[in-house]
Amino acid sequence: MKKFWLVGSLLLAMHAQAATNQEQLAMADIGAIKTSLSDDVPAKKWAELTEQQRSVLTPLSAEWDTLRPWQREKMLDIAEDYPKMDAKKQKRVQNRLNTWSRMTPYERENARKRFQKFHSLSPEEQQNLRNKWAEHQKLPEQEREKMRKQSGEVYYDPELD
Amino acid sequence: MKTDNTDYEYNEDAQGKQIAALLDEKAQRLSMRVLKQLENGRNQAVNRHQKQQGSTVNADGTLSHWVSWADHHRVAMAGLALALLVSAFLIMQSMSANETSDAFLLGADLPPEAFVDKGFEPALNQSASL
Amino acid sequence: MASSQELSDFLQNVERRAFKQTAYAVRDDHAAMDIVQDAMLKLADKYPDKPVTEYPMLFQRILQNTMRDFWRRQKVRSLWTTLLSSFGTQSDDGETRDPLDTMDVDDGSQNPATQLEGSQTLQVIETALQKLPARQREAFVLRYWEEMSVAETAESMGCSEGSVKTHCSRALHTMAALLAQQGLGTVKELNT
Repeated sequence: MKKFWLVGSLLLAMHAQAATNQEQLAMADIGAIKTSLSDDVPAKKWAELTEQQRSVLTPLSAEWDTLRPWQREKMLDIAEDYPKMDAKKQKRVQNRLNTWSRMTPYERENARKRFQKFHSLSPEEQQNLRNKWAEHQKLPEQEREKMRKQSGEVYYDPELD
Repeated sequence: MKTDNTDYEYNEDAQGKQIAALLDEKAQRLSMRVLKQLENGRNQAVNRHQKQQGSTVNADGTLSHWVSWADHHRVAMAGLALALLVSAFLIMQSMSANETSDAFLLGADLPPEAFVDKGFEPALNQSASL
Repeated sequence: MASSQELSDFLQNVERRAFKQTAYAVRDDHAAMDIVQDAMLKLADKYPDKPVTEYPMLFQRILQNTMRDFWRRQKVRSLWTTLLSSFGTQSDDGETRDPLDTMDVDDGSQNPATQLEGSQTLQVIETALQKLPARQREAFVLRYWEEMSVAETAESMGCSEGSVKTHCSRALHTMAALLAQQGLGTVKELNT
């Protein structure tokens, strides 16, 4: 029983810490586990969002009410991180929101994994990839499809269950 | 021949059942979070059904499931402690994982299409932790 | 007319595998939970007068329809869907194939952390299940996991009994082939 209370109070302390930063976790679509056991938060309609949220998520205003609750939550996570970025990054986010929202959950999951790898590279390596992407885009679609087929599968993470 | 066909079908059926048994076994081992969500969904459906039938809500009927789930005090407390530990671990993870969140993905030098396209730079397909 | 207790018992019995089945089909746990909860409500809401004996098939049908709704409502434009649709979507058994079916799925068997053969087998099976065309997966799940008869499966899927057998056969061949590819032998061998 003592152990339980120790863990409990430890958790409360950490939770308070996280709350001052961000309680929302921007986690993967697949296999995500939230800090709270309950998922019963009703989905917020567009009109119920704060001004800040709406200003960030403007590109999604038309389709917002068609998004599922968990999709809206993901977008709200993006809105929450938005202020942490410089203006250049913020502009990119706005430009790319629609594309992102229309991808399948599977595509988004793959993108997250590959982005994690990208993020671990040095600035020089990242710049190198930027150049490579420009070249890659010039290739005909058939060629790119071939490369997709030949590439290895994206690394599979066992579900945290 | 008819007999051969039947044998073949029988083998296929047996295979199918065995595979399904494995899948079902895994399906029984779900996280507490998922089980709780399923229970919530179930209770909502049952309440809706009860309203439709026009009968009085059987509080025992709804509660009994919760009670049977947390039947043994010890198991429930252990489960709760475990859930708290997992939550603590995940909070810790989240605090360090900020810079690879979706927002930063979208703000990156490369567009999301580059990250979706696993044919582009296949080296990215390998986990960062490897 | 099923009682609320019967509904509750039924849902409690079916919910875990319904969740996993849906997750394999839509490849996303959040969406799967959404869909299953939706389906539970629909069963209670729209069919309050049905006897409990009809629940298994009814619930499966509701699940499948809700899954289809989900894909349609998302207005999802897979980057490759538009491309694939231009190559034609007619499958060889004459049924229209969902272009999203042909998307690649992570092959979990490459996970270096899974050394135990047992769990590796399961992982390959799960991968195979996700890789199957939707109709084959549906037939397999209803026939072997939900333990419906061929006739019941055909009724649920709205196709002929012959189609059901074909779908199941192909599904099993694919799984057996993938298991063999990973050097895991047949399921039968492993269980002896």
